[in-house]
Amino acid sequence: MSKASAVTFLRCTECGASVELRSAVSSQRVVCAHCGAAMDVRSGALLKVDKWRKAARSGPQDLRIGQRGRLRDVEYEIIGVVGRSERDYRWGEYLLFNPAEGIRWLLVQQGHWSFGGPLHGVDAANHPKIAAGDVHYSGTRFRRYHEGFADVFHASGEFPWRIRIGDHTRITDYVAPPQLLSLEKSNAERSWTLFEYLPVAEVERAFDVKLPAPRGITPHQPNAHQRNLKSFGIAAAALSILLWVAHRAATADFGNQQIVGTALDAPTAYGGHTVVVASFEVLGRPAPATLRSDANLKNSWLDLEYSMVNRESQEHFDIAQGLERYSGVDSDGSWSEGDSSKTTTFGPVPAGRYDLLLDAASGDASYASYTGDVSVYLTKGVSIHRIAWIAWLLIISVPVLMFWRSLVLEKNRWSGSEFSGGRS
Amino acid sequence: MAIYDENDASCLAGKLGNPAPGDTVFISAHPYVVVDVKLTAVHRVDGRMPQTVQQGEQSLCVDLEGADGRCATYETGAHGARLFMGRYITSRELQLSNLRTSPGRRHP
Repeated sequence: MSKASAVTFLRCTECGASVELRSAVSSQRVVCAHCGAAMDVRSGALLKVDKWRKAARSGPQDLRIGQRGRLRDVEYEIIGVVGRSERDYRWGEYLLFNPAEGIRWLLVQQGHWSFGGPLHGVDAANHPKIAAGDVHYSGTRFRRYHEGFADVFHASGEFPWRIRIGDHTRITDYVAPPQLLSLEKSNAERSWTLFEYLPVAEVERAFDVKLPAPRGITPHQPNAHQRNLKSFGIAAAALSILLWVAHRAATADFGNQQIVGTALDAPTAYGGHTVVVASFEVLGRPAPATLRSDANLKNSWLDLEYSMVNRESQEHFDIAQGLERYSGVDSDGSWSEGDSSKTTTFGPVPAGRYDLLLDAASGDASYASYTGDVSVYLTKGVSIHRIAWIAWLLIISVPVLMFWRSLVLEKNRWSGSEFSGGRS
Repeated sequence: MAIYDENDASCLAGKLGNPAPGDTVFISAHPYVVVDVKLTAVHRVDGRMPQTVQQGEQSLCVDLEGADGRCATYETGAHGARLFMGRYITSRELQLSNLRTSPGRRHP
């Protein structure tokens, strides 16, 4: 790529310096880089010098006139820089030029970059509904985001129109991320520009510069969470199906088994003697087991010490469960604490014949024993359900989190718009 | 680019009245929206012209845009009213060749 000069020169009528003209198009206004004087290219007439000099000091500084960069496979040269503002909000616009493509814009708002060019026929294509709010272009619906007035506070370089400091235009922005459709209206002109959001890294690569990181949210920045949501959602659905199939296969293999479900009548009445709750056979491959005890305690406690003993090997699993339940009424009202139910998971339990033994003890404030029933439930392979549920929750947590972050980004995006109706 | 005769252009002048950006007119049943209104002046004349053109001669030019790339310019001045109709194309579509070289730039 040739980097030789494509510049022709004018002599500044204010300071006599050479003023560069980079564009082959018919530039109408040029601002002297040395003294800030603005001139009409054709007549050489000088504009109000002080006003332009003051404005020349306040322009966007990220890129400079004469820099070349490759965007969308086309090499552009920066020929002009415009600073614009709406009340306290300021942004920069770099005028790019390529002999074949013509004029393009590089927009920088709070460190967010956009690349754009002129569009024709938007009004006619939307006729007569343009006043209704949203705009359609090339099959895309653009939602009205903002309306306001923009003022030019800085201009340097050359321009194919007679730019003035203080130029005041009405702007209406429509968004369809990552695109922004901008309408500018003045008394004599009406023009549309289509911008596309550019990651800052792309601008850095194009112009070989280091740029500040973007701040906040710009109206048309892409919602990365939304973009990824579909693929992550599909992946989560596929993983969920896989998990379900694996779970079915695993539980079938473990031989999910309801082993014991019985109610013991006042087990503590046996006072220090072991009660045989049940004798049973455990089938299938070794798997975790779950033992649940339910009692009906009232201001009392119950200690249950189970032992599940394999008849052949004498291998045993010891499970201790302490239950207590207290309630009452005091000056703050009614209160309660503790639980009359307890669940313990243990194992893995291999297949074989087992006895489930129980030693129970209880008491209350008056040292009376618990005389109610205790229901005992023993199941094998139950905890794998819990593992499956946890795995499934982990799987769906990613798309759910993404969906939530996507909603937050959209909420923040539209919080900057005066058109809440832009949401559909 | 088609050039319409004065009768067509005068008819359009009646429709446009005092043209302002955003106004819509229908030409051959297609909507066209006024996008630019400006007073133009002849800056330089070279070569042979089909009519006498004077330097400094002024015309009122109204640019209109239609859908699907349609465009038109309504011009009224010393030579009466004229309507130019055409469509937007890119320089690549023109497929120009043997262009004058631009220093420091490679032609596409």
